[in-house]
Amino acid sequence: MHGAYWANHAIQKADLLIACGMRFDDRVTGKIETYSPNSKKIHIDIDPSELNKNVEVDVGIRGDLKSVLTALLPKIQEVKHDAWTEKIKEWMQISHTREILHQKSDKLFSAFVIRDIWEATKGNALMVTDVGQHQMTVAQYYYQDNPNSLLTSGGLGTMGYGLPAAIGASFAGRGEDIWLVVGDGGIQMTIQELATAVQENANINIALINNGYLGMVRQWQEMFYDNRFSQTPISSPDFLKITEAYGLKGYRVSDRKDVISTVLEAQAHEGPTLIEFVVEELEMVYPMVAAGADLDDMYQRPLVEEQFSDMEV
Amino acid sequence: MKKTEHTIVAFVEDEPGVLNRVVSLLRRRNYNIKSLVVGATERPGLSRMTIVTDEKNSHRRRGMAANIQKLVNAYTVEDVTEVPAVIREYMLAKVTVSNGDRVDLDLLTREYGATIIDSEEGAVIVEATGYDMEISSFIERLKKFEIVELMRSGKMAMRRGSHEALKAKIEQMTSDDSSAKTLPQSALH
Repeated sequence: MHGAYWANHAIQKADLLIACGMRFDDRVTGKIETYSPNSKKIHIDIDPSELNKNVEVDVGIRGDLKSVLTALLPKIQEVKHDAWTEKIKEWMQISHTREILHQKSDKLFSAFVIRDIWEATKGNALMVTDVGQHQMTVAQYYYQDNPNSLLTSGGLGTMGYGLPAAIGASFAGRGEDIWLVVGDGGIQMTIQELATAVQENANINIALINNGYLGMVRQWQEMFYDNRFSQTPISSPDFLKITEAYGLKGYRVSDRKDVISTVLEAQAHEGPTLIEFVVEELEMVYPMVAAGADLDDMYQRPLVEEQFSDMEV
Repeated sequence: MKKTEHTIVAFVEDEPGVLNRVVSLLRRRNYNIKSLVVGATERPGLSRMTIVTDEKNSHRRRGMAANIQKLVNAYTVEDVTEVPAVIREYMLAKVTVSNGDRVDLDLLTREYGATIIDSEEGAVIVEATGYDMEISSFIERLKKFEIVELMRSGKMAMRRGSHEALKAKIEQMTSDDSSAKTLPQSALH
């Protein structure tokens, strides 16, 4: 649904697909009938009920990835496919020019926020997300190099998951900094757990991405329902007063230049903190494959100057 | 010939709610149950289910056993569709016969190895066991009398042979110190 442009193209044109520990769900495959039509498929999964469930594969291997891959690696010969890697680089170049990080803007996009958190935490934070646009942004812009460092409600998509999960992670106490990224919609579903966080002095940092909408649904209404925003604009409480009422440290950021310094300040603070990032209201997650569309049939991010041109009210 | 019916045997905990879990799973995955028999076994605490569906897709057939196997209440599941197995059902039929037809009914019952177990006021209850074609054929023949009530039990299946592998598997899964039902360590960190 929101995978990388070049990766989706590569999957559609590939002649061999090796799927490790994934389940070919519809967010990943797009229209299943046209998914990677010319490839042989090898699927490795620990759960035999996943093999041949959504996509019929040529070889299904049941097993723990670590042992299967360890057994397979010595049997693989090194080969080079220069033409193919060149092709992938071409697609990557297209991704690159459309990338929001490479576009000049004085507005605060959530992608900037997440990327700056990544930079400030040197990519070593335990990331927790709620459900929605910010969740996609974390997946896209917080590079994960460490195993088991992202807590997110994937297939279930339960809004309100984030705050309790972050508190749980702090109790588990693995030692890394914990950053919860949550939207203005999702946080209100379990906002009472701020009391638990304060009571237990959970060392969590909350990055609240506030765009004033249930953004993921709003995006669908914008793209597929002719901008009829039904029940997606939401009013929120004053989050700084909320933090004051619950007794945790609160900050508000609406300018990109303040992101990193505030993140570092919050992180240095002992106990729970919350930073409200007031971001662009009508931001979208790109690229996007519409439900039921071919995987390489994507909405690409427009250049910034054209992005909001037809949205002025 | 490809079998149109798919038969699996599931060994599960004899606990409240287990049947519900199995059936809910089949409903969620959209399998149509043709028959389902549950009963006690040689081992206290262990129930045995024989589940017959009309699923024809081989991937979905495999997926069904694999999904039931994932339930914590399931010890082991085996697919007996393509292996030598005894698959039998039980039938009760109540027929009304006139005095003149009673001899015919006795003969037919004997022919199918069935038994007349009750007979009063002109209504006779016949019981029969056999594989499904046998039962169906018997029912066809019974139709020359008037069948007023009929019930088939659904199928029970058991693999032929000593099948030591099954015994070992159940032994392993039911032993107290078994870690077989817990995730492998590598899945936890």
